[in-house]
Order: sequence, then structure tokens, then C-alpha cells
Amino acid sequence: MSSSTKFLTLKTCDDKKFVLDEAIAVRSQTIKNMVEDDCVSNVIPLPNVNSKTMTKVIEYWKKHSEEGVSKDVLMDFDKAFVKVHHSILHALILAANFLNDKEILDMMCQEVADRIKGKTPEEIRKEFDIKNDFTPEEEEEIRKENAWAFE
Amino acid sequence: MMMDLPTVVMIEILSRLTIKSIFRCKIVCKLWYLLLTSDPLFINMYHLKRSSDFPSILLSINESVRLLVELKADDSHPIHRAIVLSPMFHLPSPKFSWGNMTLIGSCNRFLCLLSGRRYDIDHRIYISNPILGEYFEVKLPEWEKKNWRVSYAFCFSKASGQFKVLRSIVTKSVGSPEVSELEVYTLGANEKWKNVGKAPEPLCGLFSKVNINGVIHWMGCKNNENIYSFNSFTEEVKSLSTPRGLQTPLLGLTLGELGNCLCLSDDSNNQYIDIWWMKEYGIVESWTKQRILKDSIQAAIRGDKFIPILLWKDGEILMQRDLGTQLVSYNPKENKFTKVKVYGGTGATSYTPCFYSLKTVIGECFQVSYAFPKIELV
Repeated sequence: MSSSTKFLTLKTCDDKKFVLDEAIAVRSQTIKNMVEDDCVSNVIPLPNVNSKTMTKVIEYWKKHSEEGVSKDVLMDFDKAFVKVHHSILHALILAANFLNDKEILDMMCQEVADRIKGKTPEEIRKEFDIKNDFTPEEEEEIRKENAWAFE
Repeated sequence: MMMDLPTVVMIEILSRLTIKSIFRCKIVCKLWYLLLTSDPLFINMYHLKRSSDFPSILLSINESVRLLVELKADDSHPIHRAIVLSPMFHLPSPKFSWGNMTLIGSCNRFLCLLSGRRYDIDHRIYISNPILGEYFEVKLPEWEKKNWRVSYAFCFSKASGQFKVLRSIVTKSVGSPEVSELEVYTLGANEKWKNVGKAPEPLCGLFSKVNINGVIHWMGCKNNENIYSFNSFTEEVKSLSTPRGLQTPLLGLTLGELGNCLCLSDDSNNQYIDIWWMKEYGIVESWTKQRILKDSIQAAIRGDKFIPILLWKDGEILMQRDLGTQLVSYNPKENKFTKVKVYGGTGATSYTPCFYSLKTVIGECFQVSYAFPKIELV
């Protein structure tokens, strides 16, 4: 490999192209494997990620690759980063999972878990647009079984 | 939207929750219900996370197990509302119940409980997973008239993967010296109790709950020199020595386990607590003393006894104030005690909950009972 900066082109599912420093892009284990296996032609297709989500991911990668950024600044950045609508959270989780970026995935999972904490089932459904597919009888039964969890 | 996340990711999220949240999530939708009740991946992941992330403690009130408190290391107010262990949903609730459920011990995530009084003919022993409301009654040998004192212990042998209940029976017979007969019951193997010999000296009190690598420990009662042990794999009884030259009388000593190390805490002095660590198991020379000054404990309760319960957050030691409802955490780096906001119980024991079914332990041949009626979803 050459010592000069190499660039990779990533193409999202909506046909947008992102040109990115390879050293940053390999934060994704998936991309890293492709680079190492020499499977990289000109453009790396990311069929599962749209451009809006990829922009967010790259924003995160760049911030976390910057030199001389203090821990506090990064923490504030991360805090703001996860403060998004659950649909974006969802897209980011899928993207992080596909790109195999453990750091983003871990942070997002924790955020979802934090949003579940302390909420009632109704509040959880509302927060994440989840449809209640129990029959009223079934729900009643499960509620009875778990009544203590609502005390 | 959240519904189409890969199962692994969904489980990763759900296994980060507290027990109460997990049970609330069961009611959110069918998919989550199934993940949380019957997916082995969830059970394993929760088990893994739990061992590394945060411990829990069981609190007893009047000798009866009542509360489960999940502690969080990164939180200065570790109490999320405690889970009340009610016989309706968690603990054995047989028709013929004595009410009280005393903790015999907990190991490898299951509990062994005693219902009734040890010296009554009608006491019962249960193995329980309180989280799932599952329990199993251990069949006891016929009570003999000559039985005088009985004590139980619960252990798990990693080597054989077996749970065992140990009991000591001291019998009364005129003219001959007291003897402790040791008997063992293996869960899931056969239903017979097996005599494994005599204890080196008759057990006058209870077995301690201290279980290290499948070995049960208890203090001898003649003097302060002997600790006895029962290995659940080899079924052998051995004796270990307390630190040489230890002056403290038996009453001031408490056996404990901290970070899988055998400990002896000495709280006979008002100014400090000495914790003796047996750094290398079985080696008398490895007993190492750690002196902890009590000066950062408020003066009014400084004279009370503090018993170490568990090692948590970067070497901090969680201790319980005897006869009180208070827990304190000792930070060895700063030599300071802080209050842990856990209230409502007098006896605290470290315990790690799990979602493994008792069936995986005792096999299908035995009847597991439930504290509440089970439902089947279609």
C-alpha cells in the first residue's frame, strides 16, 4: 500500500457517491475486509444504506478521527448525535450493523435501551411506533402474569 | 420500524435493560414477547452482560427473602425501584405454605430456599428461579426422632455441572458425643440423599453461604482456628486454617467471598474493620490483611458491625450494616465510605439473576412448578 492518502468512493442505495479517505472508511469492518481482500474496484456499493444515513455515519467517523479533540467534546458530540427521531436511530442501527461498526452500533443500542427504560408498554409502543398485535385477552393474560412489574 | 431490526441487534438492546423493563417489554408486542421468553440467544446474552455489567442483591426482612435490587456501578443512586419478591409471582407458593422463605444460598443464578423452621418436621427445601417464578421441591429424607439440629447449604460444581444440596444433621443420643452427619442431594441425578461422612466437628450453627468454585465453607465452633469446607465435586470435607495468631474470638469473625476470594472479616474493633483475604486458595501463608478505618462512617453507627457482601465498581466493597437496613460502599482508593441508597431489608446477599429455566438443570423427568399460571400464546 502506498503511504499517500488513498480515497474510496462509496455509493449508497439512492445512487449518491461519497469520496472518503480510506483511513476513515475502514472504521467500517465491512469496508476494511473488502479493502484487505482487494475486492475494491472504483466504487464500493452500499445497497443497504441511503445517503441521508451515510452522511450521519461519515459525520461521526470524521469527528472521531479528528486529532486533538478532547474527550468532553466527543462526549457532547455523541450526546447530540443520538438525539434523533427513532426512524433515524433505526436507519443508523441498520447501517452500523451492515457496515459492521461496533462503536456506532453499541452507542445506538444503548440509546434505544435508554429510551425504553422506565416506560410503560404503551409509552414504548408510542415512542417507537410499534403496533400492539396482542388480542385484548392475550394482553390481559400477560399483564396478569407480569403484574408485579407495574407496581 | 423497530420491528425489522435483526434479531441479534434487538436482543442486544433488550438484554441491556433492567428486569422490570424486560418484563414490561414482554407486553409491547408478540415479537418481543417471544424474544424475551423463548429465545436462547436472549437468555445467553443477558447472562453474559449481567455477569460483567452490574450485580444484584437479595434483601431479606425478618429472615425471609423479600426484595431484589439491581445495582448499577455507574450510578451514585443505584436503586432502581426494588423488585418485591412476592410468593404470587416469584417465590415458591405451595398450597401448604409456611409463609417464610429463608435463603439457604444462591449459586450459579438459582436460589435454595427453606420454608418453615429448620428444627420442625415439616420444613421444606426449594430450588427456585425467582425471575421466572419457577421452583422445585427437594424431597427430604424421612425425619427421624433423634434429629436434633439441621442445617443446609447449596452448591454448584462446575466440573460436573451439578447442583447439590448439603445438609448436616446433628443427632441426639444419650451418653455419646455429638456428631454431624453430612448428607448430599444431587439435583436431577437421583432422588436419594447420600451420606458423605461426618463433619470434623459438630455444626452448632448454620453453614455459611460462602461458596467459592463449588466449595462450601463454614467456621468451626470450638475455637477461631478452623474453617471447614465441602467440595461439591469430590464430596470431600477439608479444613483450612484461619490466619495464624488471630486473636479475635469467633463472634467477631464473619466468613465471606469477595471477587471469588475467600475472606474473613474481623469487626471486633470500633475503629476499624480488618478484612483477611486468602489470596491463594488453600495457602495459609497467603492470608493478607486489609485494615479499613471506619472514620468516614457517621459516628452514630460507627460501632456497628459491617459485613462485606460483594466486590463491585473498581474494587469498591459493598458492605451491610448488621442489624440495620443500610448498605455502604467502601472505596479503597479514597479510603472512604459512601452510603448506598438501598433500603428495606436487613439481610443482604449478592445474587445474579438469570432467565435460564430450572428445567435445564434438573431435566425433564422432574416437575417444575410455577408461582403463577403459565400462558401459551398462539
